[in-house]
Amino acid sequence: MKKLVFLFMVGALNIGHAAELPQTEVRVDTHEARASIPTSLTREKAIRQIPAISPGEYFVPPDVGDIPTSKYGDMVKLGRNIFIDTQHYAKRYVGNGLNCSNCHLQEGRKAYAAPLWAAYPMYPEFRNKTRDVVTFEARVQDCFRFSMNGIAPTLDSPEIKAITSYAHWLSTGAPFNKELPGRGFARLGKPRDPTPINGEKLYKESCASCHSLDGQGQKFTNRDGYMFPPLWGKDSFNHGAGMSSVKSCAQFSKANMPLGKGWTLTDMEAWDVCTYIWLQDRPWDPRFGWFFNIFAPPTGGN
Amino acid sequence: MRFTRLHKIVLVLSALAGIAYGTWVAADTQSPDNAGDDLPTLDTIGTRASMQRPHESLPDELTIVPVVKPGEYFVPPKIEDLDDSKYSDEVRLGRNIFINTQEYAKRYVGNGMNCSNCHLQEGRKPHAAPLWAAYPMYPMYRDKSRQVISFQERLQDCFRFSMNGMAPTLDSREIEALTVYAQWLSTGIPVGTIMPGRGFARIDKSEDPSPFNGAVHYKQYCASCHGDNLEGKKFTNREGYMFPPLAGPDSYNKGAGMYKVKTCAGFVKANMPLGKSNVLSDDEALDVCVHIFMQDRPWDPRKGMFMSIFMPVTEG
Repeated sequence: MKKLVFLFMVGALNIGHAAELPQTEVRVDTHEARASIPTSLTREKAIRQIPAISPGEYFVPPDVGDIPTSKYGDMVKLGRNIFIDTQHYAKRYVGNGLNCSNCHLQEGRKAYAAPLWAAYPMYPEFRNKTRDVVTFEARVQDCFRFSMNGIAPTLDSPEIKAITSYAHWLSTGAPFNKELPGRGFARLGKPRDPTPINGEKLYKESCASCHSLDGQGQKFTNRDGYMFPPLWGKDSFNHGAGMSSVKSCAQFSKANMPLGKGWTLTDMEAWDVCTYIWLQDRPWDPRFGWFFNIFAPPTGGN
Repeated sequence: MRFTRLHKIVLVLSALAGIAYGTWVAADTQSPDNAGDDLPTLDTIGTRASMQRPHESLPDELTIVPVVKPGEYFVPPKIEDLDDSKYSDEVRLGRNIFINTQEYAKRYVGNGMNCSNCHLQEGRKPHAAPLWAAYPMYPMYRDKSRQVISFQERLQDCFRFSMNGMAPTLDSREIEALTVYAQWLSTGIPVGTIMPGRGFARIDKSEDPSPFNGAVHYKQYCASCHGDNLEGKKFTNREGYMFPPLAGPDSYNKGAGMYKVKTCAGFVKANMPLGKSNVLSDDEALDVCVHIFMQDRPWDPRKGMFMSIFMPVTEG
């Protein structure tokens, strides 16, 4: 019996590790390519970046008016609606006051503001955070869980499918497995250790006019959600979100903040401001903060 | 006329059948996407100046589909070129599942097929439904499921129909690995591009197909590999079929795409007899496929529950 159980466990483990390639299937016609693939299209680290034609020019996703009138187009439109007005279209999954487009600026189109067209073709991808290869849908679930401080929709829910369709449509023409310029956020140097004291001063100078002194942002007057998102407090992202790591926040701020004046902060100023923001009170990480969430809930917000 | 026990049984059975049919019709007629009715209009709130038609052009080389010569198709990357990252591990697992489904995803498979029995050359051969042409198109609207489905859900349908099995969940290791394999195969293909070689060959019908001609063609072209009774030929050294069964319990079921005569003919025309693609004429392909269509095979799981239980498929 013990032997049987052991064998069963070995069998069950079998699926876990990627086994050796069965030699039976390595035939000549499959591994000899008939036409050679252009070298710029392989997934190699050295040549992953596709050069923009002129600096400052990025991939341009299709126009909103060109969404096809089909069921696919309907899904894309729904995805866009969810994306720019999450408070209305996906309210039941959202625990704070943010919309997707509060971080993914210009409806997920702006380069260096984590544009969808640069992310979608890279997935499924290995992610350190989950220590696993995740699909795009699973990545969107993480957005809901951390950045929206909510509950992940199931993988087959209309919300996830619509957002995936929207990302797929936005990246029409972008090649798979290529790091497009403008992907993610800006790359930063770190000349010295950041200081929150300097950050506070900077925050009051350059950020407070929109995000307000207490970091609570400004709401829309005509609909739910924030025109300028709250940076801390209970309507903000939680401690598990990517934006809660000082580095991601600094990279984002450098490229996009103050709004309309991206790339005006120096690297060090971005680090300082983000350290100041990082020190504030916000919802706890749902992966290990449920105890804190109940007994020491975040203050602020409304 | 007396009301016997037989009458009672017949009445009860027909009532059950009526209920089952009613449920099926009800499930069939309700709109599959509950989000479609009230939301297809564009939200105007976000139509800002920054969203207007772009000034900058897309770099040219990003949109070129890498076909070197006409008649030559996209060539996916080689499996030997993978490094040893986790991503590559997942790709290898996906490939293993794909070419040896009988071992690596046995628990979800109800017949004797592997994925690569139809998707020839490990999902690489053009006009044999290559993965690299399919993956960039999803999420896509599909008539069969009557909604926009993701690639993962498409894979589930493969398991349900072509493999006559059970669909793995969307977050299962199998679906994820197969998705990674498909994404890796389509490295470099622009998202949303209709690639040459996608799906199967096109078929033009000049006359109604005849199963009698089909039987003759079958004997001539197909029987040497697939067997006189369409039972296929198994591997000697491992599970699964070298030449897949075209009928019988180890074959795809009646819900599969290959069960449609047109789809089957498109596949046959472009790929069969193996190694002699495009030898059959369109009408010959259709004839052969009607012959295959008329054979016994597992019932459609969407509506064949009763039949699957009480009239199981005979040996091929």
